[in-house]
Amino acid sequence: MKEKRRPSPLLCLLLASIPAAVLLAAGQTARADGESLQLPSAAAVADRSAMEQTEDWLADHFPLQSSLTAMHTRLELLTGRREVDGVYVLSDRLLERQGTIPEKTVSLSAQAVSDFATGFRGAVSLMLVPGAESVESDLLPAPAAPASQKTIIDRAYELTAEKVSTIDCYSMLSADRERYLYYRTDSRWTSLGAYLAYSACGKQMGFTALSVDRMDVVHASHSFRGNLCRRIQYNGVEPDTIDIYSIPGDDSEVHLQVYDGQCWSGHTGLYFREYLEDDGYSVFLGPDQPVITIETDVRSAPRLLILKDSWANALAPFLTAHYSTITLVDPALLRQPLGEFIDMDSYDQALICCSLSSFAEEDWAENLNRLGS
Amino acid sequence: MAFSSLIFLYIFLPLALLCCWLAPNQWKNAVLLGVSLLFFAWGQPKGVLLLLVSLILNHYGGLWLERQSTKRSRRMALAAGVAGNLLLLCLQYPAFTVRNSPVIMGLSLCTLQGISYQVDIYRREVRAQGSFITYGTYAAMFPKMVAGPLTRYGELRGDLARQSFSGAQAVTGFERFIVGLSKKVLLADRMSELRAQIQAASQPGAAVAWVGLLAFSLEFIFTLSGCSDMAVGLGKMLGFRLPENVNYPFSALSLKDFWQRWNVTLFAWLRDYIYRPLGGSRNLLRRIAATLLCAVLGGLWYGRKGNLLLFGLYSGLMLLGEHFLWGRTLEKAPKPLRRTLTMITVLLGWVFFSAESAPDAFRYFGCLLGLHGLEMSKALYLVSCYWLILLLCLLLAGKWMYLLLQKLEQRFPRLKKALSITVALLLLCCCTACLLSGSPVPSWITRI
Repeated sequence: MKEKRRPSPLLCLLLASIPAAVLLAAGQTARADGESLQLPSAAAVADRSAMEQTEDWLADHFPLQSSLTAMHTRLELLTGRREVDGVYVLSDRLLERQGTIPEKTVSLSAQAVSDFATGFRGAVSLMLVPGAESVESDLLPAPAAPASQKTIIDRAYELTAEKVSTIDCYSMLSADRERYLYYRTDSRWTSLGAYLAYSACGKQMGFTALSVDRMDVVHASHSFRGNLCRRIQYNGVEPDTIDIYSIPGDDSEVHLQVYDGQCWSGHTGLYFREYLEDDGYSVFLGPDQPVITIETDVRSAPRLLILKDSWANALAPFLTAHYSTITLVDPALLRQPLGEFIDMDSYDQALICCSLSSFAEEDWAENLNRLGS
Repeated sequence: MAFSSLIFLYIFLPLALLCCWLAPNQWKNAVLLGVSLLFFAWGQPKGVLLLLVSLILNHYGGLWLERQSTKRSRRMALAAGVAGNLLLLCLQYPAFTVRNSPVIMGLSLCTLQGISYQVDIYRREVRAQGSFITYGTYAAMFPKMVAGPLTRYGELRGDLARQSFSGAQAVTGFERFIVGLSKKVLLADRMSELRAQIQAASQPGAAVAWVGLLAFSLEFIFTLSGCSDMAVGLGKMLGFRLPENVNYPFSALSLKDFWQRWNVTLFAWLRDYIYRPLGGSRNLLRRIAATLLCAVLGGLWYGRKGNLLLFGLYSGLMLLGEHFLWGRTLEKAPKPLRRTLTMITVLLGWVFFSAESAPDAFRYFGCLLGLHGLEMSKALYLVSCYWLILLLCLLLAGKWMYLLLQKLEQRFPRLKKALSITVALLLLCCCTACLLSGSPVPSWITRI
């Protein structure tokens, strides 16, 4: 038989269509979420980061990404795995695996907190929130249970004790761990978990926390599938309920000024119900933004600065009853010194509130130092 | 660029195949070289310069060597060529003390191929290649840039002169590539996760440490074997017959047998260009020196770290022990026992290989001996989380699956053909799903 020396046009078309289809589909997804692949700089090409970024971008925007991720999760579970991409899949809930918390970065972050407190004129409080993996470790098989985060939190508190007052959130959450403190499908705490933390804050920060019996609880959503669900595209556990706590008869108005990294915009009210369908947790103060300022009706009350990660978004609504102004700053998102946005001296108190895993991230200390510079 | 990446699978490979297949015959090598340089430049653009230096050095060095007429001048030309390559190798491996120094994936392979090319010309086994493009295509073609195989110029000379497209070869090559990709992504990467979990614990108990060692050995062999399959498959798609690099090492009946199976082309290179020239088979002293040197170089090939030097020394001493002391006794033992003893010897050697440093390796030996307890429940938990992958790895490590497929092909050729392509597409889908969360590239691959 005569050997065919050239591929058929159909095969060529098929080969050419693979990269075209992948790039076109990825480009469409990118435009839909407002993100587009920028041309890398020469320096980025030289230090390999451009290639890594391109590969990450392609993975994030790959056609059928959600279906393929769901398939990956199913495959992993089929082979006996109980943990997929850092998420434990238990019979009735998901749990984020935070792994070993590096002591070195915790020490660096603690040092950054002390430095910040030295430069701040008012009282500074620190509240490190443990992950569900640590508080509810009894849900995991014994060999997979992590070391308690309490030891590391206590160590961070010891290192900062001279400059800041510390808030023991761990004990409060542990004592009530049978209750609905953490979402089943999200890595963060529920409104009840945030309320317990608020109660703990009151003792240290000099206000009396409102009793939960005085509040109305509104079930804003019963179909919340959180960040853990989205990460592994697994819908095998019951969706969560998002609760909003409010004081009956309280008709005070709250105004939000939000800085998204480019410009400021104004909103009325603390809750963004339009996000309930999409990313339910964003109902609290909207999506993560570098700076959010809350103006309340409590005119004579002190002013509070909160340096935080997204966990504090569910906590802030409780604090509005005790402060005239609350400014929330996310050090991971704000790229400029804080002094360019606000007058730090006008604040009476500062609260640093974040999860222990955020606090232990490598760039946490650097971000905090940049804010204070 | 790694083969197990979305960019390679869905952007680079289809375009590269299209360019190479559609190029006119006289341009095929030039196109393949250009595509290979692009592959090499992805993630290490500065490395292209070193690669070009290596290609120029060996191509023109080879031509110069061939032109020499006297034995003395030929020796001088060979010495200059080898020294140039060794200098390039030193740039790749600056010093034992320099940590985290940049390494360029594929450059060591090019260097060893350059040395074999010079020596083969010196021995008059091949004629120097007159075209720089053709030599460059041989030395730097992308299918073998990730973990080999290490090829001799003589093996590819025919294919370089006549690359023809064959639909059947392309399909076979694609299937072979997918088999390799699956070994890497579905098996080796899972074992890598298991090993990483165990290594994260500073002092694992004995049972956990043994599971970790087994996971590393499976990860290593399936990564190497996967890369070899992918290279052979890509070669077939492009019209090249690349040699096999891994030959069922877990079936080895002795340590010597194992060394001839786990990186076939590297150890054939060491045998032909170091062991034999040193007179390894001539007398006792030379055999000892040559065996030790080859084993040490075999270890250092995977990195310039002290633990890999110890791995080489350990392997060399065990090879000598097997040859002079217990080899004959071992030959009389039943095969299962021989396999088991060989694997235990190999696993212990891999303690040096898998560690971050020599002290870490000795600490791990302590864990294996139970200095930090047993941790049986944790070991059982880990095994239960990976039981199917572990089982698949152990089943696929032997030759029986290959023999079964061969029988299937003989009896039901059409069924096998239909099944192969369906299974390959299904595996590609599974690999893509896994690749969305990334595929780790072991550090030893980047040092080759």
